[in-house]
Amino acid sequence: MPGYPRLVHAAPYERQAPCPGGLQVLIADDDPTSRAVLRALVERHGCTALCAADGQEAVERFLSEEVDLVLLDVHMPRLDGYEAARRIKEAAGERLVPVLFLTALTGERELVRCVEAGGDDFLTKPFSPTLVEAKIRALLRLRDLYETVRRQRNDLDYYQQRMEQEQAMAQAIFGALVSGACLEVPGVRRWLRPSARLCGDVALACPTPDGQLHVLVGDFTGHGLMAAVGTVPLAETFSSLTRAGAPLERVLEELNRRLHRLLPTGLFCAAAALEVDPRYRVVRIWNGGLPDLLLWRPGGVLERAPSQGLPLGIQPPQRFRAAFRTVAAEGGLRVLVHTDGLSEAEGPDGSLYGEERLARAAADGADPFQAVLEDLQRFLGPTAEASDDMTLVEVDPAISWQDRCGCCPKRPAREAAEGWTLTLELAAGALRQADDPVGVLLAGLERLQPLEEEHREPLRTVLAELYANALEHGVLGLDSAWKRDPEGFARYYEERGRRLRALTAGWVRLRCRFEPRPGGGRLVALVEDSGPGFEHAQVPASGSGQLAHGRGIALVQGLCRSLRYLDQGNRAEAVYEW
Amino acid sequence: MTVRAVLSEEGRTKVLRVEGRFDFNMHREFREAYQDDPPGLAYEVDLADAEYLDSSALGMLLLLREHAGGDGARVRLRGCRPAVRRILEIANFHELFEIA
Repeated sequence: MPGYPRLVHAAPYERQAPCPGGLQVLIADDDPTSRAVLRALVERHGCTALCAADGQEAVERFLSEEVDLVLLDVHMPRLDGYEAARRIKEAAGERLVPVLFLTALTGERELVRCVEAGGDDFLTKPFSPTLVEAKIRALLRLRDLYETVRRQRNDLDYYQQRMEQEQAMAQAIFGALVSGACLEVPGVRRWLRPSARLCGDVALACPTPDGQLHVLVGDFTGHGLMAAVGTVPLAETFSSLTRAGAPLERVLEELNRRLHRLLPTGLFCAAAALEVDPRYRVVRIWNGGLPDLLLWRPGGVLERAPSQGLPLGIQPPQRFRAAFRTVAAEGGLRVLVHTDGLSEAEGPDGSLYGEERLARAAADGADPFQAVLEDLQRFLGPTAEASDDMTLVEVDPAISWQDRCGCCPKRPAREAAEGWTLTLELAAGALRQADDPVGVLLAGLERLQPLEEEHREPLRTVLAELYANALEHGVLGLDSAWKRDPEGFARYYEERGRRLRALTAGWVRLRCRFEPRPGGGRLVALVEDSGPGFEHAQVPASGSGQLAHGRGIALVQGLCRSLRYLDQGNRAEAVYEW
Repeated sequence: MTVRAVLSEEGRTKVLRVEGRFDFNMHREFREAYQDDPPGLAYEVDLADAEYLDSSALGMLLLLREHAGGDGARVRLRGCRPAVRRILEIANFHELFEIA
């Protein structure tokens, strides 16, 4: 029969077992007979007995040995039991070392003093061995239970610390990934207050190569890590497409497509996007699921731009359409965007901040951004804790960011000044009558940028093929498979003429953007039509074979640096370089 | 823009001379220039005065080749300026036609 059972999970790593045979029990009694009796009792159960003749010795032995349990006489020379218990408990610190008082006293006051001194239980002398044994067992059980709880608490502390470390690291990584967009753009002010280390709100701004500014404010469902995960693809896609010159609707379509594919159902991103165009002094606004945007003008004039679409990541790509509102960037306009964490912030009394109060604060004063933040601070009080991520962004479209955005790779100013865009739009009437719209466009291009002979023809081919496709397939709905045989070939072009003469709706837009390059240039031709598009994923890489149709795309691919179809296939973008 | 057709003296080769923009507007004229010919005739398409060639022109050339016997056809494209030659090359037409 082994000694007192030891719980196997009682924090073995914290104690180098000094007596493999069992536990160490400290016996302190000035009466040698009592000591001998207790020693025999303890040793019979496989424990090691450590004996002390007074309180002082008991404390010293406790400090120099690993003790699991203390049996303490109350009355001893040099140091009595009460004081010894106090010092032993103090020395034990967090560890529970049960102290069992042995006393001849029976008065209530003495017993209370025992407990107050740190005693866990007491036994009155003369004691019965059976009772001593039972009490020892009970105290050791208590000690084991206490150790288990302490160890579990330590584990929890450890995991908590580890999680915080991991989150701090994730925060750094997320920060680096999300800051791919420009963080500090003149004219854009941002205030962001995360409720946890990782934030599901995101506010990005990035200039386009054409000199516009794209701003995106997003709020992912939830907060913390779950919400923060989506911010990385969002920021990455936003900045790379914007820098590549994609128009804002295209950026939003791609964001929706990526988030729809990446995020599980139930996780999405309410967002608002702005495109500031300083040349035409307009701001285009899209709001998908964020609280009303506030259009502020001096004198407290406020207009609202409510949500007009679903958040990003909910609709399948083919159903997503971004509807814009265009606002004149005049009269001191500023646009305020906030996430619902701000309008639903809770004050000390449990009330919500609310969109009405926010609008009132914004209308009041010359600096709506500052006014809202100050009012919010008053509302929240000094010690408020955020329960959701909060974001406030102000865009002032009158401030020029172009020369002062420190984040973007600087393009030579001369180059930007020399680039241009030429757009030719043909509505139904013009499509009917136009003899050679591509020739008209080319003549315009050449007036702006003289072309070498060797590039004139290929450029004509590229534009003519893209225009022919846009008109014939996009607007007129002709199927090029007809051209398979001579009769079909003739019929195709007769039908082309017939449909074109009867055309009353539809359009084709040819947009050429020229960027100078050292010793040459780059022309980005974007050809769009009003048609339903086509499955451009099935466009073959090159049109070989001997069919009489389907060669146009291959020709363009052969001549251009790149050709891609956007959206449903009703936008073709070809890049020609020399 | 016109297509001039001249039969050689031996009556075995027909020369189609394309002038101006060689694009879809020419499809009828181009086809009429050969569609009543007897089989076995050889063709030469003279592109020296063709100022431009688009993908439907490529289609028209393929239809001519088919009329002339498909893989056994003798169709030669001549007088190609560099820009025209480049388009023919991109379309891999040197595998189907003799390009001079």
